[in-house]
Amino acid sequence: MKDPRDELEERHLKRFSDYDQTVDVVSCWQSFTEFALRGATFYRFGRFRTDDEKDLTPDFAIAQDAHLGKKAGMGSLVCDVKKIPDPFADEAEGSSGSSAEIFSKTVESISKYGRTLRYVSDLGPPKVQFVDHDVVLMVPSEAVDSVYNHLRHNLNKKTFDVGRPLVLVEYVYSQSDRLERYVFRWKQGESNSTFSNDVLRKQMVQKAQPVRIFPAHFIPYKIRHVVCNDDPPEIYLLVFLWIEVFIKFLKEDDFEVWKLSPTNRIIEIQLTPAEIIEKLREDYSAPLTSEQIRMALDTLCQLKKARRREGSKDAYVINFSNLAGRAFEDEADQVGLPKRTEFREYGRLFARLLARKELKEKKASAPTWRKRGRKRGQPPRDTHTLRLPFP
Amino acid sequence: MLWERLANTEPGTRQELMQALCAEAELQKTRWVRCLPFILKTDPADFVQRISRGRFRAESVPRGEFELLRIVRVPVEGSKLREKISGEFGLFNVASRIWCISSPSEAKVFRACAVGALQYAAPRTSFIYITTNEIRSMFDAWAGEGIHVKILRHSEYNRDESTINFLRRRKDYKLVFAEIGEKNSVLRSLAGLAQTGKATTILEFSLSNLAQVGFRKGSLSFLTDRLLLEVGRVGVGRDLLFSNRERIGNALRPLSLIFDGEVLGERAQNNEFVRALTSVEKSAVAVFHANPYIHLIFTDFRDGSSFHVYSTSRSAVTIVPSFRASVAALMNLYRGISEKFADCAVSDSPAHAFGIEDFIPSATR
Repeated sequence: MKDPRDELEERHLKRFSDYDQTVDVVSCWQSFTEFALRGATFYRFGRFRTDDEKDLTPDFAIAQDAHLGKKAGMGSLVCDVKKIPDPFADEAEGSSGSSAEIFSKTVESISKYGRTLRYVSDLGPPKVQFVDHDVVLMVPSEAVDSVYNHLRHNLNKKTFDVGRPLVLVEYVYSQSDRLERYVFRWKQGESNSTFSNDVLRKQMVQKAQPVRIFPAHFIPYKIRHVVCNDDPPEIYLLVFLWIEVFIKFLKEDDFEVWKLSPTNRIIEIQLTPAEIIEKLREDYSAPLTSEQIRMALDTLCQLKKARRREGSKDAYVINFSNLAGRAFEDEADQVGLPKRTEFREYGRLFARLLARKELKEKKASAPTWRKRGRKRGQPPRDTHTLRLPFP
Repeated sequence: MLWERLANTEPGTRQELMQALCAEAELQKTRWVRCLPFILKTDPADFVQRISRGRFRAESVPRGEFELLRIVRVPVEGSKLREKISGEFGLFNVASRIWCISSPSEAKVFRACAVGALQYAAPRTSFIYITTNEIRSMFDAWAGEGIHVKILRHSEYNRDESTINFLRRRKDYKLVFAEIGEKNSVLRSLAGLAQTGKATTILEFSLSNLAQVGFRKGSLSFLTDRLLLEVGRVGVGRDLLFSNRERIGNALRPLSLIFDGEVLGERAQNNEFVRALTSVEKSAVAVFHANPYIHLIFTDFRDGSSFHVYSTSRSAVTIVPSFRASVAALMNLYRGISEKFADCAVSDSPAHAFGIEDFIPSATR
């Protein structure tokens, strides 16, 4: 039987890599837009408001001929990238259901973009209205046939339409010819809408050419922004904050401690969520919300890597140090050498810390004999006579 | 003592310093004059001020072409190093921002005071990492002039076994380097003889891959005008390449590492790459994407520098420095990859402008 801690750990790592893949795909299209789509503006972050004042956050949008206050030109598109099934669907919606239901919900959530959308964020790109846009759904190649069939069955239209034409695109990370790249293809099929964008229609639909995007093309965009318009999972945000962001708050003299002693020695950093948000916005143009940052900091408090500063409503004290290889010294005997080497890597390390926290919480919330006053050596009392923790 | 010996030389020449160092080595029976060329991003006065705090105390006197330095490493509360160690050193300029700290002290004193102070002064200072290939090229150039290097002993790091081996065999340098290559090892240090055709020794020396040079006997001018200068040139190249690489806004200033063969792409190869970086001291690694392409962040806890590292093919890696990126940290990262993973050459990686044909080969505008 698999260790529950390992299972939880893998779950966190899966969230990390799924999110990372979405960031990759968004970065791919940002580089393609910048280099290959003349007159187009890429919208990586921000909110798009519907006529009934509902704010939406698609994974990205591309506006053709974007001018402040005007309609985005023909050939614009609003796009969502979906992992099928969406690993967060059950958490995000607060619901459970059969995998078929989750699948349907995931696919159908794309229809919300099939209406007029106003870009309302102050993040740089012009505030335009998306009126004549295509809605693009990108899914991994292994899921594209199921999605296509589902849409055909449920949309009941000759060509996919959700208020605006819906274009289905598949993507795969390909290693053929030893040249690694993401490959995007328009899904062949009579029901799939064609792009209204001239370049994409001509190349991807009429000529059936795939768009190939190499790491050298897209990673510079990934590095510049690190996140995308979806909320990053807890583990992704924690790893990034710890290894890249918090350390930038330290001044030259602060590092003397680690020159004289091992880097697992704690340096306290006092920070407010607002300071972190400002840094992320300034350096990475990443508009993370106060709520997201506060949640990450609260998790660090639970992991005993931070605490709320006494006498302050808003400030936190981060117990900052290099966690590589040291975080699990107490488990040294249980964890084999290969694992210990793995724990020098921060993704694995935070996955373990989060898994350990969750197991602890589970244990604490589960009723135990000891809690009910049973002493060692005594037989358990009849469970029916126990006082339950709820009426 | 060196300080007393050179007290009245005003202004002193570098030659006088070297002679005094040799005389002191003779007197103290340490037998070696140790020289460590390094990158100094500031002036010597600021360097001395920087190492006059914390664990170190330092004072200096300018003496024309060199400075006399006295460095004391004092015990610090909570540290395992409780012994007070002091040494006297000469400091002189080799080329551009390359300075050399030298002393006849025994290895322990040199390591504690000179090497320790340079580490402490980072990122104002940086060691110079020299690859096995660069050392071999230097010896090849000497051989072209009729000066042959015979290796007396050397130490090497074996990448397959993660072990350091010390070998004591007299061999021509070409044989030693060929064996090192075959064993997937890198040279860490060597002691050797530079000889002319008639087996006349012109220099008995040592050299490490962090540019520490030892002088036992021979021609002082060959030591300063060839060996130290050539090591210094490697340092100048590294300094020029690694300086001002910090990201400013969205402008990235990447570097390219090109490996000799296809060393990335397979899961096991990528894991090996990550393992090599996680073994670099006082640093941390977070892997964002592990297979088939690799993308990670490497953070140096000595000064907070960080770098995105990603593979662009099976034989190339790009390093993109973040908002803080010192020469010392880049040197450390380059050393980590080159020494622990695979031989690679580093160069500037200018930004490319791509066209639609790069994304869709058959497309024309």
